[in-house]
Amino acid sequence: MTDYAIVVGIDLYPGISPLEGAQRDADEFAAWLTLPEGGGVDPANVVRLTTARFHPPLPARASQAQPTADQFRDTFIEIFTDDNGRVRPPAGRRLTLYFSGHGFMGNTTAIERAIYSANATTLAPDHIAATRYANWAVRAGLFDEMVLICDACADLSLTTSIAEPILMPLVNAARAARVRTFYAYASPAGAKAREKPLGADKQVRGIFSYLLLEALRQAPGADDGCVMATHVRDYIHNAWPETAGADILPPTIAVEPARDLLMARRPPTDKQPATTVTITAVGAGSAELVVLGGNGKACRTAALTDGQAEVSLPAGLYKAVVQGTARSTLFQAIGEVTRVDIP
Amino acid sequence: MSISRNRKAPLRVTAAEEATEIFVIDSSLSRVASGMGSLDVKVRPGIYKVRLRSGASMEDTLVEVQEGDGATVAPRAIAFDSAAPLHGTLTTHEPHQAAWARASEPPSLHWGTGAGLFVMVRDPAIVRGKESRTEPWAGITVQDAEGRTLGAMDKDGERMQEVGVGWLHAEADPGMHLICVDTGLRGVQCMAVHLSRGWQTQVILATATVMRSRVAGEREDGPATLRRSLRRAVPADAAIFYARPGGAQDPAQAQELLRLTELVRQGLTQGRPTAPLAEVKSGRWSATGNPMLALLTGYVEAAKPKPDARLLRSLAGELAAELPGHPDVLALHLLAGGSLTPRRKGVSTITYPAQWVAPNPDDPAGRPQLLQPPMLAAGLPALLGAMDPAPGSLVQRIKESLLPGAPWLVWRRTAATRMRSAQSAR
Repeated sequence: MTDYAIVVGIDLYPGISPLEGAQRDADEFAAWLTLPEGGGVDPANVVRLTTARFHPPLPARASQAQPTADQFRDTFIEIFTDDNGRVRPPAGRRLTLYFSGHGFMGNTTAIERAIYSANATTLAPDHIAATRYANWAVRAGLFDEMVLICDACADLSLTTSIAEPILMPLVNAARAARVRTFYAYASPAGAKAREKPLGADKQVRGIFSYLLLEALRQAPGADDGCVMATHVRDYIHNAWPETAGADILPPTIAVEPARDLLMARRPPTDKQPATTVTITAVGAGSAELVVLGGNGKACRTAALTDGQAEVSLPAGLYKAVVQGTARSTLFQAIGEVTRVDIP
Repeated sequence: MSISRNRKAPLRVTAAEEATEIFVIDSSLSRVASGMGSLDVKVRPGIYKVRLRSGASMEDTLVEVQEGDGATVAPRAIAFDSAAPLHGTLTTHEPHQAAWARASEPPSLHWGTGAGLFVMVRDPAIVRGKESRTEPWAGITVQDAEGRTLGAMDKDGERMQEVGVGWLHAEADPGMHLICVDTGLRGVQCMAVHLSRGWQTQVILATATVMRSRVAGEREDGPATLRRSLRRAVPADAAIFYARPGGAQDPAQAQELLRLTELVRQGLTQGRPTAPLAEVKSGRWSATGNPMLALLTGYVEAAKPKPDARLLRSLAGELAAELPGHPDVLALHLLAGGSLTPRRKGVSTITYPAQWVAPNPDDPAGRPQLLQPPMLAAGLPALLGAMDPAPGSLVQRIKESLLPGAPWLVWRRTAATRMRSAQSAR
């Protein structure tokens, strides 16, 4: 069984307002998808509908900007149909739909998102009904797993009604009931998704996409090295305030623990990628530093040099103690780098 | 130095406010417990993260739970974001509080009698140290139930230009009024507010950037791309309270209850169970003194998979006395299992005013028609479950134009939703 993905990232919105990081987010997610130690998807099965694929040259009119909703629909259909347009069920193991751009939520009671296509204008707010496409594929039972990721706003917007994709209903209730889903939205109802300079190179990225990728690379998995969707969700929620800010609403991530999805598999010897933790205890000179894990047992020791030491730890909660003193502090190791000061 | 992890120890968390959510996360970053207001759980000794969430704001505290004694966490109240300049919120501002205090003075506008309306708009950007270059009052109007403009904030309101705050203060007739904001490219957004006799309805709006754009322009050194932003009041995020006109209340207690009201509203927006039910059940506050808190609490309870029908009936009963004829009270009454007409013994009924519910002479079953919308978005499906939208009524016209993601019923005004009388006015 094969995995497929459509990755949409739109920076160029001549009819609305530009974004800076959506294209980058999409490229980085697509790159992770095709890594053998990442998503493991055959690069031939990852279709990118990103601004850079179509522009430059810049469109003469807003209505000529790409990708469009029709281009997405055609790409979506091509994944599970043959040359004659006939559906070939089951089409694959997993379908991943990733969107980064301007978006909104519909005014129905359903929790759903749509992404504005590049040619959207205030007069003609064309969009891709992201959740409805995912739900259509689930109902059709074409894939065993459905991963939907939307890094876009969910606030009040140009339009309130999500247009139904023009697709004939295809229902396989028995298969649909077995489909495992992971739906992740950067912003909860009524809130904005944000982008800002992030990462070592300080390039503008979507906060949610950045943390999603960090979680996929860094989240501590189970003992067997499996990083499940629930691990990814927990990692993002734990890292959220420090990366996004303590007053930015966290993302909405829906996954059923009883129907969890495998998101990444780490080699057993390297199942928990490390966070580099720089620990400083001013005035502690060359005392010995002990790091205790959540179970209270020492998991690292290091000699301080001028009151500073660097240790490598899996993401989690720890206690750092300067041996022979009463100085200690609790800390969270998360992300690539964490800095800790022992008072 | 290792901890015995065989015996569980108590972890007690007491938040400063009952509408604060509490999450306990273990050292592997998995959630192990959650609660509202306070939490008392037994956990294995070790390191935990206690996360508190008030509105959109979160605070984390790491705690070491020792064998035997366990640990106790009692953090201070969390600053959260609110359109209202409440004490201890992220964008509180003394000049804005001073403007809000004008609500207790005699109204300067007289559109009717029996009820009060205080609409305030402020630009929170000024609190963040940014100069208020926008005019937050731009495009805000108050209209009556027929769509006639009663007042425009920029012409009829008062303001403190230098601190970016303006207000309209009126005595008005009880019943539905509309507050509309012209947001430019995003259209005119309207919301219904129901004024009740003997109460002042306070609507506090904050501005936000509704549109950013880059345009080609000129700087001194030549052509350049200029950033433009448009800030307008956002009805969806309004803080709305009921207060006794000119009423004196202990300021500290009033602020505490207003904070609670805001947290419940924000919880309702996010579908989170932030209602202070323990306080309701303990009788610490009642619907009598805090109708908006009671309304919001009722809707949060009704949204649960298994709502407490007795609590809903109690809230609807108390609110019916305080806010007679309020459509949201009727919606809560219906959500509590009540009916419009006496159908069977034991099912409570409620009277409704003719201005927003009308009999349908064409329906042999006697199903009435709904003319006016409720204030809260969750109320509309409850009312439309028992009534049909009256043909040509505002309810029918706005149904397809509702804006999502808001606890209030907010719609975008289009040619279809515009009041007929307003269309024909000259």
